[in-house]
Amino acid sequence: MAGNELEQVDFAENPEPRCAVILLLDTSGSMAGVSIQALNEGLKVFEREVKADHLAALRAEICPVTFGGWVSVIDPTSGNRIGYDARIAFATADQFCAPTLSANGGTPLGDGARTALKLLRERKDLYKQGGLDYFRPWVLILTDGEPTDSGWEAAAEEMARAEERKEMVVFPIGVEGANLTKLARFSRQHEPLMLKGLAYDKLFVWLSKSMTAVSNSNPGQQVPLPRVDSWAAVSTSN
Amino acid sequence: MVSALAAWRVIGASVQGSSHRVLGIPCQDAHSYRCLADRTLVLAVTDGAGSAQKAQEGAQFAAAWTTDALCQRLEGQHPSSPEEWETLVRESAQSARTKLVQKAEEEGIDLHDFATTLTCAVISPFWTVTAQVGDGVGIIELGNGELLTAAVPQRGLYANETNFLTMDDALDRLAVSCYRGQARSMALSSDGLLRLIVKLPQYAPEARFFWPLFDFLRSTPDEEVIRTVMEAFLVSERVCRRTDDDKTILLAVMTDEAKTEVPQ
Repeated sequence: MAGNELEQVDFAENPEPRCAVILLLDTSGSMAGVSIQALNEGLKVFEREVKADHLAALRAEICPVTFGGWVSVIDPTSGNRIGYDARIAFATADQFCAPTLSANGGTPLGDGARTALKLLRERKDLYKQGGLDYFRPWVLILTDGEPTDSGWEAAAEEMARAEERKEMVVFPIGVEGANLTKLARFSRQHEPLMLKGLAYDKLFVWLSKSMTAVSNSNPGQQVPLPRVDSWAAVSTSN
Repeated sequence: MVSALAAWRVIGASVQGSSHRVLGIPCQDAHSYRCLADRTLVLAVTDGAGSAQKAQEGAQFAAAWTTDALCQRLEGQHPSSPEEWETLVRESAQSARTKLVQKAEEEGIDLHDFATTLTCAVISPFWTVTAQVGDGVGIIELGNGELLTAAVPQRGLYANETNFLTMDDALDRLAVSCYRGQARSMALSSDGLLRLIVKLPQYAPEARFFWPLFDFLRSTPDEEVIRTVMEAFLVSERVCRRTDDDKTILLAVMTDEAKTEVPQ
């Protein structure tokens, strides 16, 4: 008999809280070939997985930023390069369309980190203006090399400090060939993890699950995240 | 059966969120209530922190011990001013917190392993009081039929951050609201239902949610039927589409036959 008695009960309409995720992706020349292909495949997996979770799809806001030669903001809904604008640089996961990236040029990770910080700060201002609740944003850094732009150290320090101030969470991830010592300077809260081979697909399954965990979390400063052993090399994981 | 509870119909339901089911995490919400001989009603809802090791136990202890502490202090003469009520509620929350501290020491665990929110209320014949540390919601229907959010969720900078009874300064964070007069209905909820039952950002009660629910309770004498329907409702597709967190709702309505018996 249960089920129909409360059909007259209706719900408040509220916008979903948002969790901004910047994918800060290395598209420098060294990524060319199988690595960029595997990354592109991984992004497709991410699109599929994150859309499969109804609530995460409405709450996770994705913003791909690439650094290969120069820093580019990628339209999350079309995969095209767009101008720098926090209003359009993010899209909820239900509208996300995995970009197909190509690789060339140097590794301006410092500029990429500055762009990510600026985008996140402006995005949060937009949330506040719109009266939206939001979770602590994420920055996932993925690189197979080391920063080649001058002044990257200052940018890394700025990002690490912003994370300590709880502005966002930074996950630095190295792909084979990455300089983990330099990468570690972008976060003092999360030690860089090393991707197992080209397991981008598994990394992005994990990211999608993490988005689910965060965007559906109970109150609490720390959300237990899924295990990383499917994609992270053993030596640096904890 | 004629009992002290006859004046009130009280139904509580705590159900596991669908994300918790998938991840194998138990329901970390709890609730507790009691009706005293003078028809004063004491209610508590708690929500264990997802990040805490023993959140489920912490929530259960906090709900039970707060109810105990409130009832103990209400056995004698009731407070007669908002200040006295605030003191009574604070002492009760303090008492529950102290027991949690002792329990943690006994078990040799960190107090924060019991991290839980606390939303509680007392409806006496002449006063309605809510108190909260955390992000639950407390809605009351005043005598004039107005719906009001008495316990407002406390939110941190981010959507998943709030205050817990286990924090060092939890008592400083406890927010107490006191109304003269007896509420006709009350709903306490954990944050799992937040977006469905109040309009953000003002946390205004959603009338389309509460009136049919209160009407259903008033018109259904069999509490077992109500509980079954409520639990089915909380796990229904249309609720779970909007939230996959644990959900608790503790409802109290003054039944019509009792209304005429309320002391003047």
